[in-house]
Amino acid sequence: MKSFFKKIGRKQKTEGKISSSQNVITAPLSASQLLPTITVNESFSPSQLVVGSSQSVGKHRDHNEDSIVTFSITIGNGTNNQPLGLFIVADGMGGYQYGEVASNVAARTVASFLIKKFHPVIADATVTLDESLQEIMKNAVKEAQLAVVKSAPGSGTTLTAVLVHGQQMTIAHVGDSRAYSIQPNGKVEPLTRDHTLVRRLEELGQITSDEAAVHPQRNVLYRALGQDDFLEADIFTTPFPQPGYLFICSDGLWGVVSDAEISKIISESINIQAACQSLVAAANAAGGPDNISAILVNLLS
Amino acid sequence: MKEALVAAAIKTGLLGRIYQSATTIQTSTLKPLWTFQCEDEIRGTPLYYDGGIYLGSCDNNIYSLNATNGEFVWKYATGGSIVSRPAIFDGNIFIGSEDQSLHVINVRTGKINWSYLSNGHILSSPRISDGHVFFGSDDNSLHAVNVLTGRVTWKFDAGSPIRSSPYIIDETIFVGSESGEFYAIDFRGELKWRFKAKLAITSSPMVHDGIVYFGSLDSSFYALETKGGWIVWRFRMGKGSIVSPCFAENLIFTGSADGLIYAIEARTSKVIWQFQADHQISGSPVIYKDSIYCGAANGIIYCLEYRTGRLRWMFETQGSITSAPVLFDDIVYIGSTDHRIYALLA
Repeated sequence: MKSFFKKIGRKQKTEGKISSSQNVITAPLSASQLLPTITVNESFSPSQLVVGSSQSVGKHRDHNEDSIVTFSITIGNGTNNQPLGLFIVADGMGGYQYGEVASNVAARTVASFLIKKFHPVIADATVTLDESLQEIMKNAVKEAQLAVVKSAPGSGTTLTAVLVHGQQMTIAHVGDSRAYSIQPNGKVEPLTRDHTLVRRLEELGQITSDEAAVHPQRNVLYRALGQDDFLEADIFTTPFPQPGYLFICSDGLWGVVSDAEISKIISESINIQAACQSLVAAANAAGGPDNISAILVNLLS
Repeated sequence: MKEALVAAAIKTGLLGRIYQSATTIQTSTLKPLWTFQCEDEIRGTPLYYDGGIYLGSCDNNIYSLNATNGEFVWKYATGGSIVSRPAIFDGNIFIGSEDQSLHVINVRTGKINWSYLSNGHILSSPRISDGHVFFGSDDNSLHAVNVLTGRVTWKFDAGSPIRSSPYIIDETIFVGSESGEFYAIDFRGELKWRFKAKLAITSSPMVHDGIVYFGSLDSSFYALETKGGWIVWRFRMGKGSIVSPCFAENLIFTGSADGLIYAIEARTSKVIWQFQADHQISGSPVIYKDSIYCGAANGIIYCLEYRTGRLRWMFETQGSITSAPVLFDDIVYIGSTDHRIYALLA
């Protein structure tokens, strides 16, 4: 009896929380608790992409050599319309501000090449493209390579470009910026592989992933856009994470924020834009050693 | 004398593997468990169901055979050649014939239940989904017939004969036509999107992970995205293809009249391996356990390791192989234009 009243007394001391037991918090419900009630069994017409992005120069650099581009188009007229989206992160390197120029030129060249290709399709629904999407991405990367070599010789840049078409994504990737598939159950799956020496050593079994994380040359790339011997980007097509998110970022983010933290921040944020801001803030809080860029995309269909 | 004995042994399946001579490759070390002879060519793929093999032939009949020993159970005569693969649903065998009809036959008795008349030869294989049987015809239409009433629910006008067999997933029907058109049709018979190749699409498409794969006589193999019909990638082969692809472990397998069996990485269109056969690849491949089985126009069925393309064995029939094999319980069943169906150890 005495212990019963003690328990009630203990409950009244907890401040601001209305709870029926000590472990369950029912107000306010977090974004992740609310998420299932919003998205389950709901379909969206027209299908559309929701995009957020955020950048920061970081804590140790004085200018930003990262470039990002986001572009999406939704056409709804009651029939079978699929959204189109293009999301690019490029991280430049090279002295005398050439890094900035390299990443900017690469991102813009890919974006304008693709927009030009899709222009007739946007203008007229009956027009279909003759070329395959992978061929178009390959040519876009080729153009970007020429442009970087021309405007910023001796420099280089990473390039991770994701073209979303319907429920699939075609990705062109070179370097160590990354694209991830983030699922509501917390799973964070990298879609691209880093073209770094340490990653190659890891793949060959020469070093472990723990050793790779602290390796003194972990940022050295063996493939980058703008290099003389650049041959080709990785180009592949994979389904858009459904349910889930497409997340693209530069190494200034993934290098200091763990997968678990990325997933936690996204699930606890109130919307996509807030998630991007929080992710960039987390990278800065962890020291911000490099430029930080993040793009987060959700497909509502 | 020796040949007669060997032929008799083949027919009764008494002999196991015979090692004949060191100079011949694996061809002659393989003896069929049984064979069955029809009165004309076998061009279509057989169906395995519940211990039975169901097979159409150009002699107008559909046969029911015992899968274990090849014994004849029943046959049903249609009015024209059967070159497609039968389907099974609710105790009935569905098969199209060049007599322009789809025949629905009781699987145990071989007696006709009902039939449906189209306006052209039926070379496409029927597929059953959601209470309807879907098949193409040389009357330029894709037919959707209700399996309970036998009445047509809708017909889709494709403008040219449909010999490719439809693939159905997510309430969408994918099928190609002889003029090179490829269609994605919804369950109401309305067009979702279309695509045009330069020459006929006789190959039957397959879908995996949101992408539909098929080959064309224009020498290209296509991967199209299923919602909007965007070409994701296009793979160029040496010659045209009528082969229907299959999928395993991130690889798409197909063949072409250029004599090659290809293993293509599904996401990137990179060729992982290719195998040079001695003649056009006219049969369609099938994956079973670790192997891929595919027939060619020289009558040989090849068994390769599907991950590496390494040849495991090959078996020669006396005609051409234009169908896919069917595999069950470690036995591969394959028909040939030499009028026979063979049961081989996989």
